Amino acid sequence: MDALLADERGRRALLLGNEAIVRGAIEAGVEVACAYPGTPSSEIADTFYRLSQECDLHFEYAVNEKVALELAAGAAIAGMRSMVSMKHVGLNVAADPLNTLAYTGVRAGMVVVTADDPSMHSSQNEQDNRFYAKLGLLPMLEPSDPLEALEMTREAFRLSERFRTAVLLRTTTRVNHTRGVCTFGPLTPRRYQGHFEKNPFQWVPVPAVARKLRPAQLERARQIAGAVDELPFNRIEGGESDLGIVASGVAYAYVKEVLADFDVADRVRLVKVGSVHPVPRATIERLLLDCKKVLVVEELEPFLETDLRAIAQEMGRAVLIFGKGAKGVPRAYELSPDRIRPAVGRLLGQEPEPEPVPAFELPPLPTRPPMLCAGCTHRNSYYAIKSIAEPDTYFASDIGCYTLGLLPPMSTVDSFLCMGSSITQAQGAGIRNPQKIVAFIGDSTFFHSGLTGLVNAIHNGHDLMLVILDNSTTAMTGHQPHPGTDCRTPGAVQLDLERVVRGLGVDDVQTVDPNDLKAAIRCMQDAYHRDGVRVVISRHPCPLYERRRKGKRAEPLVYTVDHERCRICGSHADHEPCAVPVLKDDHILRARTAILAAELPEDAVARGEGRKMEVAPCTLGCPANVCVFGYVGLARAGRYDEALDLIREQLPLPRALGHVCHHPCESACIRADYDAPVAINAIKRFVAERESPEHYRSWLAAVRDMIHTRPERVAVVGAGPAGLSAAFELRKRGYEVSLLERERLPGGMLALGIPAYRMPRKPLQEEIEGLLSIGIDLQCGKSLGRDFTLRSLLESGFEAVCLATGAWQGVRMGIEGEEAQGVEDALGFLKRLSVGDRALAGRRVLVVGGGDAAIDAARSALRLGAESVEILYRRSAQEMPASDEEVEAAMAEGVKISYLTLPTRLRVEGGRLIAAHCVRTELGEPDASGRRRPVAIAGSDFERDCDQLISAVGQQVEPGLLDGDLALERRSRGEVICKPTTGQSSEARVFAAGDLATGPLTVIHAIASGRKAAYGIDRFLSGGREVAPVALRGLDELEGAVRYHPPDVQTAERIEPHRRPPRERAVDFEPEGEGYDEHAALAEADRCLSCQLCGRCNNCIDNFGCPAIFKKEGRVYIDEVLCVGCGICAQLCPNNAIRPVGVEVL
Amino acid sequence: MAKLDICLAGVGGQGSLTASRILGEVAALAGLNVLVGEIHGMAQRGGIVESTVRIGDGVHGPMIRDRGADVLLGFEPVETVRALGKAGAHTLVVTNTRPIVPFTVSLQGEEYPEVVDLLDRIREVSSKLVELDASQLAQEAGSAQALNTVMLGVLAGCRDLPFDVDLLWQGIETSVPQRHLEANRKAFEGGLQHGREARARWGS
Repeated sequence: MDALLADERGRRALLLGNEAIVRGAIEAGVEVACAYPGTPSSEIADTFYRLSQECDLHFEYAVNEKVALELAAGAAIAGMRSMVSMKHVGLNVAADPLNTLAYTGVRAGMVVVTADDPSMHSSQNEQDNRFYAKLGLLPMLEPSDPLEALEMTREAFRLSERFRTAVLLRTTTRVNHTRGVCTFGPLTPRRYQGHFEKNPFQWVPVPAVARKLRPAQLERARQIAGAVDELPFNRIEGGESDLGIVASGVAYAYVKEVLADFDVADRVRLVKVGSVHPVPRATIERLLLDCKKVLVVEELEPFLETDLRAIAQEMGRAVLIFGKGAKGVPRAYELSPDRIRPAVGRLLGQEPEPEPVPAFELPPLPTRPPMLCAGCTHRNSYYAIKSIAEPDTYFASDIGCYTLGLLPPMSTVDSFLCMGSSITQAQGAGIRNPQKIVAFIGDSTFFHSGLTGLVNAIHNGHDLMLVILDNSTTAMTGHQPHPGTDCRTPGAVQLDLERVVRGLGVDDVQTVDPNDLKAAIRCMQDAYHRDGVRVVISRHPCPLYERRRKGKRAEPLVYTVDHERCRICGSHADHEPCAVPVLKDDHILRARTAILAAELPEDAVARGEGRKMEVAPCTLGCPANVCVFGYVGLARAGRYDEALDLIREQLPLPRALGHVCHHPCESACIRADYDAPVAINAIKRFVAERESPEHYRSWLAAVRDMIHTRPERVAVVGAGPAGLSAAFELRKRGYEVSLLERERLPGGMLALGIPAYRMPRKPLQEEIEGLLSIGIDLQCGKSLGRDFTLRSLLESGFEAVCLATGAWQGVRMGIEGEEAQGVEDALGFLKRLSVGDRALAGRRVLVVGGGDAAIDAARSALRLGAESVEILYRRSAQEMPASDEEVEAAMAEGVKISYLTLPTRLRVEGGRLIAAHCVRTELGEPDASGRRRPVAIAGSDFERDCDQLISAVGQQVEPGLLDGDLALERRSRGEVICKPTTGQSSEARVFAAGDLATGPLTVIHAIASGRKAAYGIDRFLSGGREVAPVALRGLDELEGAVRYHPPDVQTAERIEPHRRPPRERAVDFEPEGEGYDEHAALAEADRCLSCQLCGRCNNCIDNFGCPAIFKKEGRVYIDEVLCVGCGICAQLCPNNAIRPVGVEVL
Repeated sequence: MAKLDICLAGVGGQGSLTASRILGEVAALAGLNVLVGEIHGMAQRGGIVESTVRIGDGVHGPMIRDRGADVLLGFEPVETVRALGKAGAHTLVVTNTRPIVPFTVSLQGEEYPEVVDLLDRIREVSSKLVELDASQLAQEAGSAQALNTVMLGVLAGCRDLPFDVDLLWQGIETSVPQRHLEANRKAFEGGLQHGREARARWGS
């Protein structure tokens, strides 16, 4: 049996103030108890509930305080002893019945407990409920500690039955929530002999009756006033003195302690007031007769003080009375011994004590506000609505756990007044107000005070969106049941909230599970844009309650963060998201939500791609995953050097790439869906070219400073883009790097392939020299197979080799006459130009092929003075692999392009080329590459005179490479077969990068490939040590992915970078144009829609804010103790980086 | 007996309220006048939890005077420092050194100080400091939830209490579930030993 029910007079027990009240009521024979929970009164209700399970005591959680008080009044009028308890503001709700009950009186004892909360530990105000006693002329007792609470409760019932009136027991938090040693008294048996005795002249207070009850009430009050002096809780303590103190409640305890401090307990008369209404008048009169100076110590308002002044005035006593005010005790917030000490000192005539010097200064400490728990379903509802609501939406909220949504990141609580006020405040605020308004209310609060407001909304035709946050319990006060919950009491009925709402007359009602975030977002979005009264019931049980009920975790899962995916947009330094200053706060939230809520094709869902999410498409479009989104954003903010630093995290040669990159990022740009893609590469060129030498040096110095040199040596063979990229990345990772280059200078295709008008040589060599300066040992003129072999490298102390020798062999056309003088391979031609041999064999030049090399050759020939240059391409313009920009430039300069034309043999006279014999073609079936195969049209032969022909039909790995060396697995065209994520070849210590690994691709591909091989080597040599990942994501992720289109985009024309006029530029090898000036760069950067997410989005923290998710040293983690396994964070992670522990995500 | 004021500071979920209740129960069992002051409501929501245990005849209310605590039991280092206003040069400070980093650090960029700096702050107020990773000790004992038992053990080890150590253990025993009894016994003994070693170092 519960100790509180023990029939053991004199038993001592440590009881919480609230438990003591319950014991006191049990001792008084209480038969009916009811309550609506509210801090600090909740444990009264919970203790009654617990006891009611063990004995015949009737207890119920009522729907609200008014209902509770009326129910208790009904019981007391029918002759059953009753107690009702509530927090202070609850009595406002119950004030209506209370003040008429004060007229009718009761038949059996009835005690109303009002638990006040000075300092507002968990309340919206600190109203002083002693005034209710005065309002209803009702007796009110106030205990100072738990023991007194027990005894006073017992006495309150006695008073109630003696005077046939309800009695108020007022407590404060420091009594409710203090444990003290209590002594049990004898038990009074419960009778349960309720019967209502009809007596309209007492129980029917119509005006005629009430007018009779009123004098009776006054007479009763008079009698009570005459009786309270006898109560043991009212007394005079201390010795004879002309100094007096009057104190009540917990303040009395503080006075006792402070008097002991001053050692004056016997030199001050202390009146302890236990009945704060009516006050013990005779006791007080005695004090006023004895004393000249009286201090009143009470919490909150000057309640006793006012009575004291009135009594003194009636007595004609000129006593100095002081209480509240500058020289007395503070009025706001709860008291403490420290807070009343100055006033007591003043009473004693002591000089004010100096403010104590703090022993130390409190250092700045992080705040720790209470917050929505990990896994709280309210957070999901808020996240859903916040991500779809207009920024100016007014969120009218209410009282409960969900009020904690006030704090960032949710900030979805804009107002509340009291229980149920959300629904009605929203109605008032919405009158002729175009602003969007959403009202939130909890399930328990809705039953408490929401029903009537909702009826008003329907009846008066308000436009109201109401979200009922239904967690199926009264969570805030300790998981008490309510009418919508599963019932603990036999015979109780669980109400279906949706049916209740429909029953009130709302037709537009939807129930959604906020843990299905996608469904919740859609549901909220739809409701948000409808009119009239619409109610969304967002229902999922409180996970804490579920865990407590089931005695274990509601879900067996715990989630964790895959850091490789979380950091996916690159290995940025661990700083704030790069483009933060130029993004709207809720941008990521909205973009993510639009994608999460979007309809996906069914087959995509079937493939498990329902949540497929991409970082910014431009970033995915870039083979090196350069954070375009970030650097364009930084450029837009004028932070050019930071933009460049960001680019260099993935791309060590931004100046070179600013000239030559074929910018697949632009093809992926969302802006293209509005007008034209952002000219991303031109922005990159701008930020790279405006860089000062000092900044480049300081960047290099910073890189150098971060290098932790390792003992292992690595050789990189080939100093083209791939080799340079690999060497740079390897050196950054600490390796001793030797870079071996066959030619006289580094740069590969950049230096020896791409013509100088596209890739100016001086800045290129400067940029390369910079990279080498971090400690890369470049050795030019060292040729693989001639000066060294893979085998010799591995035997001479290199732990690994990165092979990046490219694909420098032109593919032969395989037609008659190809050996003639005047016929040349494009790569050979371009390389010859690059080293200064600018001889042109003829004047009429044909170029065969359709790639960038063909265009480069054609435009170069023009610049060398050719009379005519014509490109022959065997397919149509559509299939042409060269970049559109290059093709257009070539045509503008006068290059002629003949599509669907194929040379079949060359006419040679005297060893010299004089014409090409060609056929026209048409496109047939697609070939292995997916492009339609050109088929010769019979009889379409013709001849084209020419004296030079440049073949640009393809390039491949040089035959003979690796002859007699290690036998690496190769493809038929010579490429080294290697692992896609690490570049590791079939020989464990040999890695391949660039065209040698991938076949001929672009510069940016080569750079990405070089970094990847460097990572592969690092991992291979790490011996299990954790190494920085290079997790490159591909364009394939864009396929089928939802593209977020921001609303309200203003059309803005793309600014093309400056280019010299064709006639002017086509005569020399100087740069084609100067690129952007700052004005143009800013304007173009401003065209970026910031349409997508930054991979370093911080969405889970910035916008969701589950306390189980935290960040340490720049990484996101999930606290496995706090995580309840709801998985919502996994749903909203843009990178699919959050997954259950032990479950692999594809 | 002389008054004994114990201030407990921690974070919701750490069990500091249970620890204060156990101290109160044991004091009551020993026939002493005792009050335990608590504040409920926000505790389970990761907020700050402070409670008081006041033992002795002159005790009437639950509030401990500024600089008046005889003992400050800090369950989390930042919370120990936050409660330092209750401590003075005479105060025995026992603090867990394991931080619980509040969400405001991740979200609002607030800073969590270095634990060594926090300990220095405590030493500025009182040299009677016992610091330990009590969370670690609890985990090693077999239950992270036994943190409060570790803290009570340290307290009992490093100073005299107005009741027997055995009585304190009985108080713990009656308040923890049977299945966690062994872990709590280990936690208590571990804490006790740590406290006794500290006391031996002080030579008192």
